[in-house]
Amino acid sequence: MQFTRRGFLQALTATAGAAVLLKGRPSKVGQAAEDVERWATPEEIFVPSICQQCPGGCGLLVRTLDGEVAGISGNPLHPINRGTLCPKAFGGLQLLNDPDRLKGPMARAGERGSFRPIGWDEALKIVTARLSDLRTKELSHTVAVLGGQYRGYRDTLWTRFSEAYGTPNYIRVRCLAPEKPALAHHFMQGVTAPVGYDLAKAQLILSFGVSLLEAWLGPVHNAQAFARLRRSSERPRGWFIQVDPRRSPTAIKADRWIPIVPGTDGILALGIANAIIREGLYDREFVEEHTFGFEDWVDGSGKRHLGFKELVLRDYGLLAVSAATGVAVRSILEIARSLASIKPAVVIGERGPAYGADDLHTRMAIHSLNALVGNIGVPGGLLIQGELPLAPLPVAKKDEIAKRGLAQPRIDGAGEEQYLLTADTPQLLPERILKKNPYPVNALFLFATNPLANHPAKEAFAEAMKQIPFIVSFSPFLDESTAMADLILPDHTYLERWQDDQVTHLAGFTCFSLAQPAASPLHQTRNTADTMLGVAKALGGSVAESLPWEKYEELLREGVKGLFQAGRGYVTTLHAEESLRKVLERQGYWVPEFKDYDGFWKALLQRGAWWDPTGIPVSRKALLKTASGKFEFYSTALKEVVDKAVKREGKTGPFFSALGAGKEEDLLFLPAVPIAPAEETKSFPLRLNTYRLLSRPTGGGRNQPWLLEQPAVHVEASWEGWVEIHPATAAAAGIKEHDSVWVESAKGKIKLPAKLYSGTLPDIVHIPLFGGEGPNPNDLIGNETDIFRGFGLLNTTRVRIRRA
Amino acid sequence: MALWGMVIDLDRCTGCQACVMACKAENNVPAVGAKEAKRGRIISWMQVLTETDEEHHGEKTRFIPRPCLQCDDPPCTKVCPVYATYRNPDGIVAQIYARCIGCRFCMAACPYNAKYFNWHTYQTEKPGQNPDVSVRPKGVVEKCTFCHHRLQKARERALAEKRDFDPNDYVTACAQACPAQAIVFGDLSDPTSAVSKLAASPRAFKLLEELGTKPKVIYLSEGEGRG
Amino acid sequence: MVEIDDLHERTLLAPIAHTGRGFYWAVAGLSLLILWGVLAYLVQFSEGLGVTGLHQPVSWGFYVTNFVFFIGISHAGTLISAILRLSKAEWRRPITRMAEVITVMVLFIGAGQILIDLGRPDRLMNVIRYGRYQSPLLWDATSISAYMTASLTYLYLPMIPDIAILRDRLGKRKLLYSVLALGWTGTEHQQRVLNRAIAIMAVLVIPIAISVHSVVSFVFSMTLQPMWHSTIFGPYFVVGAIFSGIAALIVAMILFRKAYGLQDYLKPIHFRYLGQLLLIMALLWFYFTFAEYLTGYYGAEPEEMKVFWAKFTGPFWPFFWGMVLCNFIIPISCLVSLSRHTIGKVLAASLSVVVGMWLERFIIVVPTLSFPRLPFPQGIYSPTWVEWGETAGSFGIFALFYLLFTKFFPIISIWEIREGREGVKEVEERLISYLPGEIEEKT
Ligand SMILES: Nc1nc2c(c(=O)[nH]1)N[C@H]1C(S)=C(S)[C@@H](COP(=O)(O)OP(=O)(O)OC[C@H]3O[C@@H](n4cnc5c(=O)[nH]c(N)nc54)[C@H](O)[C@@H]3O)O[C@H]1N2
Ligand SMILES: Nc1nc2c(c(=O)[nH]1)N[C@H]1C(S)=C(S)[C@@H](COP(=O)(O)OP(=O)(O)OC[C@H]3O[C@@H](n4cnc5c(=O)[nH]c(N)nc54)[C@H](O)[C@@H]3O)O[C@H]1N2
Ligand code: SF4
Ligand code: SF4
Ligand code: SF4
Ligand code: SF4
Ligand code: SF4
Ligand SMILES: [Mo]
Repeated sequence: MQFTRRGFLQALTATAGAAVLLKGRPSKVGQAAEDVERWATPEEIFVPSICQQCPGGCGLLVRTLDGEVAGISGNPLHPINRGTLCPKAFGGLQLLNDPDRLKGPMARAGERGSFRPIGWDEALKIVTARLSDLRTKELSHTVAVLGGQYRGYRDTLWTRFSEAYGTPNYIRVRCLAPEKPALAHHFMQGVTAPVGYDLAKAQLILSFGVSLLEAWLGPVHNAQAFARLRRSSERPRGWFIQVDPRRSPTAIKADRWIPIVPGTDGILALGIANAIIREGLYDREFVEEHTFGFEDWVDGSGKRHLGFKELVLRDYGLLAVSAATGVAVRSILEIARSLASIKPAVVIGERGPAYGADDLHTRMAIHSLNALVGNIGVPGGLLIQGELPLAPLPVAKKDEIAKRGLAQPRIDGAGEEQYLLTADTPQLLPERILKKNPYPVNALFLFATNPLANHPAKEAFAEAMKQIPFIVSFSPFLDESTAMADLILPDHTYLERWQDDQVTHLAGFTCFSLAQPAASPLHQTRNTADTMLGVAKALGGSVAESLPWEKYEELLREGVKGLFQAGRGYVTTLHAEESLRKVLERQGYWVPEFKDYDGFWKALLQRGAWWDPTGIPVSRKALLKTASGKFEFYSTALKEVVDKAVKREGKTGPFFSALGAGKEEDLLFLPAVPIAPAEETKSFPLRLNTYRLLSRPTGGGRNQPWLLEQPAVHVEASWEGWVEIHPATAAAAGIKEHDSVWVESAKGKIKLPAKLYSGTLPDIVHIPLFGGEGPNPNDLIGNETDIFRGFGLLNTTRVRIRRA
Repeated sequence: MALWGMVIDLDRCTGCQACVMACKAENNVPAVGAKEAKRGRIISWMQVLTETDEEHHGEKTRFIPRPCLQCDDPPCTKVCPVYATYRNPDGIVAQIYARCIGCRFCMAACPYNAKYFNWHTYQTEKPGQNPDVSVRPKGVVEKCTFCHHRLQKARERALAEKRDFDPNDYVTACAQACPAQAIVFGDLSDPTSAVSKLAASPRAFKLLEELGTKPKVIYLSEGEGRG
Repeated sequence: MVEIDDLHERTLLAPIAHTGRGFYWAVAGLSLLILWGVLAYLVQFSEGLGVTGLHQPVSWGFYVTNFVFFIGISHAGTLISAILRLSKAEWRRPITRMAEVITVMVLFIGAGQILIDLGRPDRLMNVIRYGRYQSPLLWDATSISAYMTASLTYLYLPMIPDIAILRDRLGKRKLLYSVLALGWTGTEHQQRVLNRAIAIMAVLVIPIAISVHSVVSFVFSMTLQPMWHSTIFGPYFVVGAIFSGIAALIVAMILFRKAYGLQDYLKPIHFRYLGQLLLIMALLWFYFTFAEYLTGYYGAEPEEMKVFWAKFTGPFWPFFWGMVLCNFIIPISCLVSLSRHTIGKVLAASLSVVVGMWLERFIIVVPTLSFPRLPFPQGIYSPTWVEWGETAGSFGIFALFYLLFTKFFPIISIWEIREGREGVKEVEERLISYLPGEIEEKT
């Protein structure tokens, strides 16, 4: 990659005048004169920004001409993407100019679903009046905030607002929680920060359903790592195995695709472990020195416990595993041998397998492979992500009302009873709201989430929302959920607002991105962060004191100071300069670049990001933080949690019953995934898998024509979703390419065009999450919840198909 | 005289289409809409072709991003009756939209199907467009131009800064975007350039080389092998 | 003699002098077709070519097919008539005019197809302003305009004496005929000059005609595309052109024979001769087709084979086999024996060939474009009402103009028939001169 360095730096210097951008659009009168001038000398400014079309957090350079956006490219300085982008980034231009955007605040007029435009002052008055009324009635806890996919200071702000206002019900719809480690990692390694995977240095990647090149933590990170795996001047070409029921583009690019019966990844992992152990290929040194629970063991009370080895050899014979997973014995053996012999290797299993039941044990099983071949704490293996040294904010002030409110139980039941281990349980929300259990919800704030479309519980949500007297949505679009709101306070889109992003990169380094608005707002919208700061101020008292900032950027400026003061890391610069710094830093020198915070802040705005590439703890010590200091095949931490729950509630308590009733007790704490007998499946013979398309953005991506027009490369499609059917299955049902097909489940049916796709097991159909209008696979998916994650079980639904 | 060329490494390429969308944004390539798309009229200067190997029961698939191959001996220019498409002095096969009579002879002649026609008025001036590239009316052919306007801008900039033009200042939008860095752009006539070195790799091949079109877009094959 | 002559004139001038009901019905019918075509083009003009069924990669369809087809038909006339004239085939006399008219009419319509096919017809002048002589399209433009000029002249010259007759005998349109007759009085000098001019034109027109269809074929064969890039395309197209031309001519002859009661002029013998010519062309066409496809098949170049199989068994099989049926099987079976039902059989064969040759043009243009070398999403081309309308309109315009021509000028050359009749003796002498032996001495 090359970019025009000189020109680029010049452009950056020009951005110093951010005010230019904010001056607003010229008035009609002056337009003609300005037009003439524009032809002569359009002022070209590249404003660094952050892409928000997925969790990738890539740095952008927004090209503006006289303040108008005229293009997007990657920020070459940004450590995450180094000037490259994925296709969704360009949709940002069309998102900004989307004619369907809400033009300003709206209030419900009469029936739900009809609106009248109102002014911001009036809108804010309505919210404030409601909130303060509820607060004076000591009902602050009955205000719920449902938040979608975002992170950083917007999350901080909502958390703080909820605390100061006095509601425990700040609930987030999060499936990937990059801020926290997966439960499996937490219980087996004791880590409190998310783990990273050193994909770029690995020689072998074994992925269980991670949509590496299409979704996950952003295809740009992953594509860069993938490219380095493929071609690098320093080493031979790496090897990549993808386990996935569907031959996704990722699987196509893998050296080997292993189709699997959905939800059986844990079993396959244990089968691989079986082969590795039986052939004696595991890393003996690591297993002996750094793990616990591999062999059978005897506890303090003299009780004998099952070890991982015995578990695997006893229950996961290759024939049984092969029968359950649909993966040939030979393939299992081959994977095992590759995994054990190619170093460094890394095994990842994230959301794909977690679509099925028992995410915790499935992921424990997958993760145990990393320990078995000693991939933990080595370059090219597992890393741990660092923490950002942001300045701590003064503690939020909580008055008596707030305290009483916060003491109330969560409405979604997260962290209690069978949902003991979950942080958020959005799936449970509608049921609890409808039952007014433990109390009714009086106000709901929807921020960047659209449950009426995206949750399998969407119907229940719709019912529940009818019960809620006051719903506020901040969406810039009139999506399904927003249409049910009483008040809409539309957010800016991301190119129009101050924003930050805190990405903990897969490769472990920490990164903070900061962006000023790249465009002046096109409509009467307002950054939700500013809206809420305004609301807090209007509420007065301790709420206002806890959120003392006039503007979001002030909050950012306060937090970011921590980076300046941290004495490590730096505002990103050109590669060459950085290498030099890295060398220095390894030798223990850290040279501050800026004399004062002003300089730091300004540079951060001009270059887009701060990062600390050096402080990545890779040692085994840093990774293994369990009580025993070892990797625990047998999780004592999980046992502790369970024991406590049992002590509290007895063995008939909801948590224990849900978790382990009837099981051999050791199996709860080992990565044991039961091999279930085949189901009787007459009326719904097929399984349904929904997946993300690389081209479809988080946030719906409703009206981004470029992306809608060419949504996929593995099938021929345009402008609408589809269902992928194996040609044999289709032939049996008399379905031809492009035919309209009904996909039916016990819950409902939707009509989609058929794509015959041989890249699947014959008894699975796949529907991409297309977003926006049109048939929605969530009309099919039952509302089952994973008790460990509180998230919907998205991959257990069975369907049938017929020609429409 | 520089010979602008491009290398696309199919082993690195993930088929992500970042190049496709980058090109659309850079060159104001319109989306034609659902109805027109269904009729097979999508315009995609850069297009990711999916090649499935029938012999392996569709098991072997590869993604081939295909811009205009900028043939050095282009079959498309020879047939144009009005010099609306021609190989310009930079070696880039250019299109003059204002002159094209829309006979589509060049489309029929291009063995790579790199040319696209404006069957209707698909584009109008809209906010968010790149003013460096003109918006095409109905009835004319368009295709990848190697982001020729970027070359002009880079030259102008060098001139304004009173320095020699540096080939590194000129990079296409697709190469710039590619997250896998599968696309490398540069001067093929300079043996020290990255693109020249890659083009000499044993993995290098040209699409439909047997046709003798001498494409200046060169591919690197997938799989093991050096380079 | 004079009386008989008058009878001739009367029969041949009748369509010009009197107009029956049938004519108006025909005009009305054809006008409807033309109206459809005009409407279609107006819609296309304002909306763009998007109203057709064309797309990526099938960027050429009906219009280009029609172009090749009509230009092919144009070989009916001038070329055939020139060959017959030069070879002094006496039976040509009632045929030449009809043939030549077809050429002129159809050439305009054929060339018009290209105009209709342009995305920017408003920029047609660019072809002159920026013309690039490397493009076969310019070769087309050149040779078609040359052919137009030549065949217009070639049609006009032999019409002069007849126009003079019209000027003298017909009450109507005196001015028109006087101007066009160029003061023809039929003096010997005039006659000599005319014959001379016709002879020169006949020689000139043959290479031009052949060039026209060769360069039309070059539009395809100068590209690298599978099943287009073929060396025999030039002669193959010319043969096809003459083939379709004769068929079209026969159809026209039979129609007017019936409509204007020309049984006395167009006798079964004419149809037998033309039928035999058609038979020869069918065999020749088959030979070319066979050679073309066999070499393609044997070379088995994968890209060629994609298109090859698309025609033989793929989506285009009905068109391909329809073409074989219409261009070979039907005409051969009709034409092998012409001793009985000559006219019916020849008509059936000719109609079949006209359809078959259109299919042939279609099967050359569309399948190649439908199967690009690289793995593209492939759409199957299906024309819209606009393209059907334009096609119908084109045929309509051709038929209407032809019909109108017959209302202004005699469709059978009066003076040439007369000359033929008067020259029986001369012909006899010429015949004798062909024969070996002492016959020459006898005279
Ligand atoms: N382009 C894009 N990127 C995104 C998002 C987006 O909307 N668009 N959203 C972001 C969010 S919120 C999330 S949560 C992540 C999700 O990121 P990922 O989890 O990486 O993506 P998914 O497509 O949801 O699922 C991954 C794969 O799991 C496969 N799979 C399904 N069931 C099974 C199974 O039982 N076993 C195995 N082994 N595989 C299975 C699917 O076929 C799919 O290919 O992506 C983030 N990134
Ligand atoms: N069947 C099936 N369903 C699934 C999944 C699956 O794999 N299969 N995946 C699930 C997963 S992992 C997730 S994370 C959820 C995601 O589902 P949601 O949490 O609903 O998240 P998004 O799809 O990102 O929708 C966000 C909404 O926010 C609004 N929005 C867009 N931009 C902005 C903005 O700038 N500001 C504000 N305030 N609002 C904005 C848009 O109106 C959009 O409708 O879907 C889940 N649903
Ligand atoms: S990976 Fe995500 S954040 Fe990065 S460019 Fe793509 S959509 Fe934007
Ligand atoms: S951007 Fe790069 S990786 Fe993506 S499709 Fe284009 S060439 Fe391939
Ligand atoms: S790829 Fe096609 S359009 Fe491009 S130069 Fe070659 S022939 Fe012309
Ligand atoms: S379509 Fe335009 S560019 Fe192509 S050959 Fe015709 S005039 Fe030339
Ligand atoms: S070189 Fe420029 S015009 Fe060509 S495909 Fe790439 S971005 Fe598009
Ligand atoms: Mo998610």
